[in-house]
Amino acid sequence: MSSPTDPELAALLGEIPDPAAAASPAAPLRLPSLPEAATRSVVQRRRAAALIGGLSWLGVHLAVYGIRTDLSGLPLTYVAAQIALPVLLATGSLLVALGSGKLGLGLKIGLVSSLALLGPISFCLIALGAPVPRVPEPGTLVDTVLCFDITVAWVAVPLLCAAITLRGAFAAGARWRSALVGAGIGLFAGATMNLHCPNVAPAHMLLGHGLAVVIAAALGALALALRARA
Amino acid sequence: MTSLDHTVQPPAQERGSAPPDLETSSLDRAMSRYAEGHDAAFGEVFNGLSPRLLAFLRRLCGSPELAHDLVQETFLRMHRARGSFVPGSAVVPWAYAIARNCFVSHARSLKTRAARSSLDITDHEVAAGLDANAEETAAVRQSAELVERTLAQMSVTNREAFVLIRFEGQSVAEAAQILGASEGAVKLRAFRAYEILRAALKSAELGGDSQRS
Repeated sequence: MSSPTDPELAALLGEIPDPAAAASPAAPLRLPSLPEAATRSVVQRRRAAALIGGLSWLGVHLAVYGIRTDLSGLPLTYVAAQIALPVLLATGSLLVALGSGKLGLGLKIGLVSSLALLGPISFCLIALGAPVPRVPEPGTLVDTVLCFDITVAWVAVPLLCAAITLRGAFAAGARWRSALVGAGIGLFAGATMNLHCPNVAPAHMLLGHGLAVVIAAALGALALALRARA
Repeated sequence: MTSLDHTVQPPAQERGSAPPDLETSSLDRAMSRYAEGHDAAFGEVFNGLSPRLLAFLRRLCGSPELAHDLVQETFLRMHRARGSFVPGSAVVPWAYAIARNCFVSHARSLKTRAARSSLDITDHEVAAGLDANAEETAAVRQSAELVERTLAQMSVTNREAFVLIRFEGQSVAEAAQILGASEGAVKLRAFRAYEILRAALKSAELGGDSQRS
């Protein structure tokens, strides 16, 4: 099928009669009492607080656990790929997910869905494929599980903040936008873990750091979307 | 609690008041005020939007009673989400998107109960003057019923794309935003719906012709 242009499509669709055009006039509609609902300024304040709270959660933990000791000796490309790029993608993800777009319904779904997939996938691919700066230390499964647990915990609180403050935020495309919020939070947590953990083994990077990013995006799509759909 | 009690007014075009563009921008401003906490503006939003939402949901679900309930649900959701309404943006697509969410939630809950309600086409009254040509009236009524029945039988994704573009006057880009889908996908869905409807109307026409001959 060659795709019709918008006016062609409108003309074609116009051939179909409207079954409701001649329907009887609507009966009076009564709206019940409405519960209290937050106004725009309250919602904006809450979202700003959630953003600050989520970033503080990561920042405080990074301060407590400490920045990796080998950071100064790492190649710039490694730092850019493992830390700077995820932070950039995370920031971009949150901006795109919460962007209002032309109609106030959010940015185009193609961009949103691409970024929701690109962020976690690129994090995992870089974890697996980026050239390691030195021979990886023999790590244990416990180390990997520990890193995974911590990254999931770092994801959990900001995701909870998002669930509280993004209630009814997305009228359209809620699943993809929520997935993108989850991916953004996961990328921030993953980058924070990359900034803390000195283990450079690809398997550890993938399972200990990257898996939580994927889980965050999935939680966004499955759980956050239920709250965020208007 | 905010106690609000309103009744649906006929659409502005029928009342002969402000042109649709002016009315839409005043609705947008009213929604903006309401989002900022001016509860009194809700009446304006409700009166301006409810006829459109009722027609939209009636076309989607095929039942006037269900459409009534879904409009109420839509306004409740709009009220809860008012803080997320972007200032300066259009309220109509936002309201359509929320109404569509209500319909999809309802359709899903029906699906899980495996008890999809059949279309009660007898509830729909097709206006017909007493002095109208009886055969013509019957033909109009039949095609309206056929369109409604065929719409109800097709997939929700095709139906909502078609209804938004054909009956609600939304552009492909606007419909894509409302449905959270790409423009190409929405165009394809609407076209598929059109083909299904056209085939149904054509076969009914052929059936009618063969009966007459």
